Amino acid sequence: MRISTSMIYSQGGSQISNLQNAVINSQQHISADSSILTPADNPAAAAQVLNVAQMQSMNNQFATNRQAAENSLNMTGSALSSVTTLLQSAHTLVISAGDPTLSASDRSVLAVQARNDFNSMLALANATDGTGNYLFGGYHTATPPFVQTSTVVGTTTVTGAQYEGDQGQRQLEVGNNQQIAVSASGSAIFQSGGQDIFKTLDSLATLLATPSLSNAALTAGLSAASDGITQTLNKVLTASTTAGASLQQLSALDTTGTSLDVQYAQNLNSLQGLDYAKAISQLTQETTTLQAAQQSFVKISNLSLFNYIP
Amino acid sequence: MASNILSIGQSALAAAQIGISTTGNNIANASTPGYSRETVLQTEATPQTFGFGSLGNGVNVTTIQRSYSNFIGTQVNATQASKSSMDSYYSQVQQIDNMLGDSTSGLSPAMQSFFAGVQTVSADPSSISSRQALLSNAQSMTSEFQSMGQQLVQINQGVNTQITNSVATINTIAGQIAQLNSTILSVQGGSASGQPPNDLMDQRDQLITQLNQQIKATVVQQDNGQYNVFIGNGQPLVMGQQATALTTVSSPTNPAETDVAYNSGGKSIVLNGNTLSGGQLGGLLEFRSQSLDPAQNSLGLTAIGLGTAFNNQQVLGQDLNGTLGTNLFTVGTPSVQSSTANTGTGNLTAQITNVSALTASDYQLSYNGTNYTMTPVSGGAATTFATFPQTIDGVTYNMSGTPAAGDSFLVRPTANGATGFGVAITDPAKIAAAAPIVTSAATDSPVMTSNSATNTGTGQISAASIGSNPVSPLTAPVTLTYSSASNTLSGFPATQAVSVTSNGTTTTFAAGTPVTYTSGATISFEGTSFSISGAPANNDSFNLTNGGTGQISSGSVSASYLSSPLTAPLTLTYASASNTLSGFPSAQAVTVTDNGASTTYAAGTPVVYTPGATVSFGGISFTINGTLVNNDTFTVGPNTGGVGDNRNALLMGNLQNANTLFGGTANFQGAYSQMVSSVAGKTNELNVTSTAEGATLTSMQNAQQSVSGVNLDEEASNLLQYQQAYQAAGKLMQVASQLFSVILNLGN
Repeated sequence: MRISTSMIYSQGGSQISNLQNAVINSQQHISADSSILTPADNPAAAAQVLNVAQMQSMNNQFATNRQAAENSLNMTGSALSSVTTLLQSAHTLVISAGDPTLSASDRSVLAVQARNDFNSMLALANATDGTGNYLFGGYHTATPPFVQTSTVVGTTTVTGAQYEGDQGQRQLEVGNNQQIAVSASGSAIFQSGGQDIFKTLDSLATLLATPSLSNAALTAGLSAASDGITQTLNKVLTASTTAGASLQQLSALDTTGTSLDVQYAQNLNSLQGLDYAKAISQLTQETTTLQAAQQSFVKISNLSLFNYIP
Repeated sequence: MASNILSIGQSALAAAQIGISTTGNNIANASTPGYSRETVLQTEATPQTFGFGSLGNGVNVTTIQRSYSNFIGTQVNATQASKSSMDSYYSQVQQIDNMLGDSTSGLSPAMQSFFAGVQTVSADPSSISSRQALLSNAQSMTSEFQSMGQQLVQINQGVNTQITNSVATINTIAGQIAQLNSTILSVQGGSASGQPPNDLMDQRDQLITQLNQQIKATVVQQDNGQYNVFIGNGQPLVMGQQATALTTVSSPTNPAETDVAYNSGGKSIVLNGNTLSGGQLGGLLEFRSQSLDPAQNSLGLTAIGLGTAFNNQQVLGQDLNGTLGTNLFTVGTPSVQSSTANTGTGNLTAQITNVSALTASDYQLSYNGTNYTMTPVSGGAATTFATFPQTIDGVTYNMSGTPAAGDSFLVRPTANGATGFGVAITDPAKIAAAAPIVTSAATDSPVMTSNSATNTGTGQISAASIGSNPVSPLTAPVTLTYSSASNTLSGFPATQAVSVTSNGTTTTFAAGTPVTYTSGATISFEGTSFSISGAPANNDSFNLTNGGTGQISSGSVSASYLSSPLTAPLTLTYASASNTLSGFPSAQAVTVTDNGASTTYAAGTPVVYTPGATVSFGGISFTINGTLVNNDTFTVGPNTGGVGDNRNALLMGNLQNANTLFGGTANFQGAYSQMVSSVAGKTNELNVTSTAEGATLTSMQNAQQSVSGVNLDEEASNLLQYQQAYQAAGKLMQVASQLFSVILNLGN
């Protein structure tokens, strides 16, 4: 085939230009440490990267949510353990008040303690988390769930607490399609059905403050108080156990989440990661070819019959 | 004789001179684009006939011929058209590909941050700062959509400019070809047999190649040597000395896009973009219809899908101020354009009613005087109908005015989705994280009943109070029976001691023994206290049963709740005799769905209790589970003060992974990935095919160069050849001159 002189130049030039493009492209991949610079480098992988990245981001979000859930549950758990301690001390008080040798004035000291217990119980039932949200109000987190009431019945003033929260339970998304309850409704713990710890403690304080009291009335009153305290204690224990079980579930989900994160990272790496050894050897090959092309082009372009015409 | 030798020498000298000039011209034009190498065709001059035979008379130069192959030229031009088209498509689609970039920047992370913001609100719904962060994330996400949408609009504007430039170039080239047709004809003396004006023919062929860089053009050579040039489906561009001027106009159905047209009888006729293939112009038109519009639509679809799904959930929720949510996003609306060629008064409107059914296609509505036909522009089955409203692929259409037969409309349902995406609220309190209703159950107290149907005495049992543990549930229901003979109650649990307190005095009865009846006394066992008063008759009985274990779910609302939201709590009461719940709103029917089977109860009628079934009325749905006892009550009411409620935020968060688009097969990220994958696939494909087409073009050009190209070595050798011929001719003339001198000197 006849070769035209301009072919030698135009082809030599375009070949060198193609090789330069290849070299620059390899260099960009290496400096970006990615096999995908734009989606066109690997369309299927690029789309998959987006989906895996979203799953990874969601997985990370679930981890953040689990942290929040753990904080809430720990906060609730610690409030409940204070309630437990208080209930146990109230129970001890009931037992010591049953001592038949106590005088009315001895009992009045205990009455003051029982009244204090009432106030402490109200404060614990209105406990807040670190950011000022009430723990036991259900969805009513901005206002105290238990409000002290006082009604006059005959000659005595009955003090109690009115629940102003709701039965809502806040849930958090802690895994893919897994929600966990992170709050407890105060009514279920402190007041439900016929059980009302505030009424129990108030009755106890009123009973112990009564100057003249028949033994039978004292026994009956203390028995009722003991019943009431035990019952609330059971509710508190149930709630604590539930919170504990949730914490365990969270920790199990944490393990799964961490291994998923590793898996997603591996997926992403296999989709868009760069095989350095391969990339660098390719670059070396391309630069060598480019040099050879440049040298040979100069040599060929120097070949001309005119060089020999005097 | 000598004069003959001299004239032979002269003809040889002239031929060699022409040869040297032609070689010189070849050398001079070695790098001139479109130049075809020229060679001197020479023949022997007519000899003189003598007795001894015919005597040569020197050489004649017949013509200077250019080396050009029409066959190869046609192939080069066709390949050039296809390569230019791919290059132009490739360089355009690369802009979108680059814009999509990698997964660590751009739209995808913005969507993820937005949903992370939703989760943060659901973790702490009453926090203004987390709500503010969500709004900021929403703002960044919509800005990202807008900026990408805007970039696509700019790419479209760039395409319009390039189409205009390309059309201008085509017109210039067409004019030049027509001019050359005319000049070549006159130079050749009106026929193809005259001496060829090689330079003009080279120029004309070069112009045809340049034309094919702009658009695929077919050349038909006439008998008189003129070129007729056609584009598209046989649209004549150059006929002899006449060139048709193309123009650009705004598309009759889409003012944002420039179309190619030509003038005919004062009217501009738009050329169908699909028929104008090849060359830069063909590549631009194909890019616009195959990649740019679909990308714009897909991006818009993702934005509209996300915005609409989110808004739909937002309006079902309740904000921090306790009011029902309002739209969080402004969502782009469909673009509807009546063709400028329409003669009727029809005005088409389109509204997106179902995002799940949306497609990324545009739609062409045409009217034939009787029926309307809606055709998806990107392919697919057309829908024919005669009346409005009509819902097609998630868009509901209406027509006002009267269209005329032949009228058409272009609907782009999602084209404005990305650019029209925005955040509608600025007050973080307005994020509706809460659900608008709350439910509660009051069911766990033990229940006392007198068997009033059979009892004959006046004995009444009081409501119980609960004492110690364990009280509820009772290990078994208890029935107490009165015996008038012994004035005792029997039927207490066999293992429980019973204490009776009356006027401060407590009497304890051992387990299993009858208990003496004292009217009004407090009877306690197993921690449960109650009293019976009055005068029961013999065998009257009293029941003590567990409270119900009924539980009510937290409930949800649908869009129909919004028309009649609850203003006050509603109390549902269970009647054991009829196993029904009553207390539903008197004006609303109630539907109970159990395992997919629904039963509807007319408004105001009691509803049969089915444990676990979904109870719905007025857009509210909930389930009640467990064993109910008479007079158990459940409350469903408006959510007041529930600032810690995150139920709606959880539902919003779930949208991230919900397959809401493309008929429930893709989530938002998935829809976006599909767009990325489609653009990237096309870019990649063009990169490969354009490289392959480049190789084909190179080999075609090599073949052409092999025929027409100048080889300097070859010219060097020709030069030497003609130089020697010239020297030889000169020598010949010198010899002739010397011969003449010999004769002249004969006399000396």
